[in-house]
Amino acid sequence: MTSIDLGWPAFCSLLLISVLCGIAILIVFRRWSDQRAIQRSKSLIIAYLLEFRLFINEPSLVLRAQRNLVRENLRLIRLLLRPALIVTIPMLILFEPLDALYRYAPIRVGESAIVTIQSNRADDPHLHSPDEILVETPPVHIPREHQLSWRIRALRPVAARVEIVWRDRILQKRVVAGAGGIHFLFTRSRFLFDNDVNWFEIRYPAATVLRLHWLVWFSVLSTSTVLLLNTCTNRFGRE
Amino acid sequence: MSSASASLLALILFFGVTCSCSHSATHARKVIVLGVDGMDPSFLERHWSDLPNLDRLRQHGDFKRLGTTTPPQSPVAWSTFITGTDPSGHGIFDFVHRDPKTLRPFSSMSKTEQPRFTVPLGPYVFPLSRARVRTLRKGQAFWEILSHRQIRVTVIHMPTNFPPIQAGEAISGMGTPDLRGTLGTFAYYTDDPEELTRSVSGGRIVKVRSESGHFVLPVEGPPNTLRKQQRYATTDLVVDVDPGENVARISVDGELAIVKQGEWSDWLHTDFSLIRGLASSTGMFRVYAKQLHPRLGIYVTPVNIDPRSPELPISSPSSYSREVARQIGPFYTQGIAEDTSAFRQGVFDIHEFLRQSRLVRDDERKLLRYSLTHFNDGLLFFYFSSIDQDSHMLWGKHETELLETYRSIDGAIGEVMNEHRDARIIVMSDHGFNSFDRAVNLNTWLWQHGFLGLQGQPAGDEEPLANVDWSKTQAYALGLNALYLNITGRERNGIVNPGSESDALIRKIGEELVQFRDPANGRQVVEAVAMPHAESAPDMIVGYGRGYRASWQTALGAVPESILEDNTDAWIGDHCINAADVPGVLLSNRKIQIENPELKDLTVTLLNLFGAQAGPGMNGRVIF
Repeated sequence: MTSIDLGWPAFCSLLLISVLCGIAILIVFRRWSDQRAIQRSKSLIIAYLLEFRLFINEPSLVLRAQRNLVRENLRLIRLLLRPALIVTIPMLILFEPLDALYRYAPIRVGESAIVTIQSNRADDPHLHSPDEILVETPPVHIPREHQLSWRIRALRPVAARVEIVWRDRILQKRVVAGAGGIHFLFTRSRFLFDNDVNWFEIRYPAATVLRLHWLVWFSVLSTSTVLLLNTCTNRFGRE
Repeated sequence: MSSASASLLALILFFGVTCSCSHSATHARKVIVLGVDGMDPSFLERHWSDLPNLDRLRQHGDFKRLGTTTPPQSPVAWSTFITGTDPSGHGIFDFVHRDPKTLRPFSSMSKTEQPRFTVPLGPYVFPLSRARVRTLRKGQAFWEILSHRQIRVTVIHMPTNFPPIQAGEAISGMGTPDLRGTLGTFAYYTDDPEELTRSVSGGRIVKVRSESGHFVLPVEGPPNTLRKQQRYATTDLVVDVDPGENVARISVDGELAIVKQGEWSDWLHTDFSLIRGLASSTGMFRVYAKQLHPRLGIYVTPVNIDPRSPELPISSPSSYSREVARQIGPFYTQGIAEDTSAFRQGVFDIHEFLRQSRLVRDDERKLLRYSLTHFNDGLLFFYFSSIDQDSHMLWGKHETELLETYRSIDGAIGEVMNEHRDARIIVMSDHGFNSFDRAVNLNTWLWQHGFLGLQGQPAGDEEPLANVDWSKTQAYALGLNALYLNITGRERNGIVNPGSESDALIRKIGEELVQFRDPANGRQVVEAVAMPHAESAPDMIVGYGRGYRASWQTALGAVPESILEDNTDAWIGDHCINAADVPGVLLSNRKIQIENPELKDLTVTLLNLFGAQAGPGMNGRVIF
């Protein structure tokens, strides 16, 4: 399936989120790390690197500098570990909604998508869709995986719900088709404590942001923000 | 220099530049050439009223028959159009040529050169350089000349342009292989107990087993050149058939599709692992659910090169196919995409073949729209394959269905005419068509007339030139129109001396061939024989009469039992006959000023339209 590019609007919102995350990361690192120890460690690393150049004709000194360099790097990693762990928790929480925003695009009008449910129930459900979405096929039963799959096709733009209907139960899931802009598109809804249904999925087409996976932009932009702000605040702090 | 003389010099320069600009303004700025493979003039004349856009072109411009090449085969004819030279100039005389030393046939269009140095490591082989594909066509392409003059050129699907010449924007055409490296190998998977896993011409039949409606189909991709044994890399296509309904879910590499019986999937992309986790090849294919109950019958197209990450060079510049695919989605990249082989092998019936051919046309149409939208000035060449491929399967027996294909191309031509009213438009074909009723086993004819010796009797063996007694062989046939003498010093076991002996032999065989009559109806089997006299050329080119063509076995150098056979194949139309019987078409929205135009005239004309001189060896005339 060809990926759909979400374009500049998605990039701008991702830029904003990345910059905010970058600021948050910087604050966490400043607040929960030993800045003096980190600074000392960085200075020592530079010093050991300079030793390489200064004592290039003294193998024993170069070897010692290498050993010290490894030791100091490990120390630096240890110093960064605590803020890194603190940052990781909100980032993991943030990952899923960001992935839902930027990894998938709404179904294009005229194109199809696959709806799948994994269920342990013995009776067959029906898939109900809004008028803008056509259910094109009967369900395909895949008994060995306890799955049922349908093919749907977007006839007109819509943001509504599809329903899996049993005699005694209805499951709903949001479906978006033909709409511009960016949307929260959670492909798979999991039911962790449900004995009957494990998950309910709509396979949306993959998306890119200016031709790249959103995570690439996010990493580059948030890291750049951290580095830029760190340099600026250090400089202003000195002045 | 005084200020007065400087002013005078500036004035002279100004007028010089102005004059040169006004001169170039007399040349065409927008030229669109639509190459329609196999469009036949007599078919057009029978159906003008059904083809309104072509008729409009004829009435407001001109329509003539276009002289084709000898032999009138597509690679030969398109190479002449590309280079403006006769076959002796570009060196392509048939779909297949033969190596005189080994007597093995090979594709006349391109050659793959394996890396020169490799490092073996356990079961693996690591190349130190890339494999290279090079074209075997000689001469300069007309759009190279135009591109050097800074004229914008876009060339879509030009036959024999693989690998594509790196000039302008281009996507390669006929000759572009599938990922296996063949011209197209389909796969048909079935659990029919009567079937066996086997190779057939142009494809594979694969027997599979069901586990309660769950099938794992091994799709073969490229030969794994990183392995010593070079087995084909495979990927698993998983098919789950619903127990009650004629519907199935298919999945490959995490991509899902659902198909009902009789439906086609969209393009499915997959990676073929060469070294697990380290190296892979990307390809794509479509799936047709021929039958889901009670037996499985799944057709998988040849694995096409993915235009988004091409494994072989298929465009110029190399990023062009990626850019196009990003805009219009995936499209057939295989050179000849209509699967006539599946039809000939009985995997497709006629309706299924026409449906698949329409899918190819749909992709062509998407590409055409993209090309038209991005075309502002210069030259646009666009090639249509469907009429040729459909005519092979429909000619003479399914006129209504073939007319549908013609109408579809007529619609595309109408779109071009409406979108670019200010452009010079040329519609041309490389050859016409005729029926293929009787197959000629030319090697058997040579054997019966004492020109070819055999160890034993003809056996119909399809292995090239098997059982030939070279010490008694003066001539042999290989390819669709080619006949070679067994020349001393050239062929491995040559016995005919070049010079007067070979000239006399050519005359003798030529005279006897032209006298050859079909015992069933008294018709002349061979109308003309040509002697090309070029380094890599066959010694004779056989021009069969209407209704006759070299048999498939002859093309491979085999010697079956009888000289003539009824053609019982689904392939019922052809053009590899006497060139005079299958002219192409030439239509333009301008009057054509010369009589009996030929393919090579168009090349010179296109250069002339942009004010460029004809290249070396081009000897055509300007048609406008």
